[in-house]
Amino acid sequence: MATITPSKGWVAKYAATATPTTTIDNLRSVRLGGGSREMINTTTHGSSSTKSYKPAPLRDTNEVALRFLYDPADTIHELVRSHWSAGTKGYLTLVAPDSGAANFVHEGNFIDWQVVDQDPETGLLEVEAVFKADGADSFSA
Amino acid sequence: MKVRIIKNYVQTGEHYGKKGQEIDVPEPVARQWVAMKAAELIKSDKKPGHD
Repeated sequence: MATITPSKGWVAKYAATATPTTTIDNLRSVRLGGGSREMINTTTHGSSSTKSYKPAPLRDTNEVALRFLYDPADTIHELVRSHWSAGTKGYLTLVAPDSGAANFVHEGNFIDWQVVDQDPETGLLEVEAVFKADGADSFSA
Repeated sequence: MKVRIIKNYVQTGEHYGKKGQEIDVPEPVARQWVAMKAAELIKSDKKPGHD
């Protein structure tokens, strides 16, 4: 399948081993987040008119939702599907389109894989795959 | 393990550093930063006068 999306926005790289170099082609969208932290309510009877909070020491690990135009013959698309199906650990790196190529490095598992849409004109399938990190992500810029 | 930061900024959880800093971080973090080309290991077993 020819490259349909231009080389703008995030570049997502995925592999079975650390520091992936292979790109997930035909990426439509990326949602990076999920690493939320609870706030512990520290309100006391001595508080004035507003509740008070402090951040919990631990936050959740990141979750990345990727949408791409699915090509079963694409090696990396198939790697994502097979890793999701078998529960195999993988490595996902997101590279931002800034001049310093800031990147987020994750290791973990694809926990969800869905064909969410098909284009009525072209018949192209769109897959949403959700990756959950199993530990702290690394950021560099 | 002791590393020298070579990218502008790098962070893994509570461990972070800016370019040029030499800091001690746990081995898995150090290995990942080196793999990301964000840091380089500082060898501590060097003899004085031998770079």
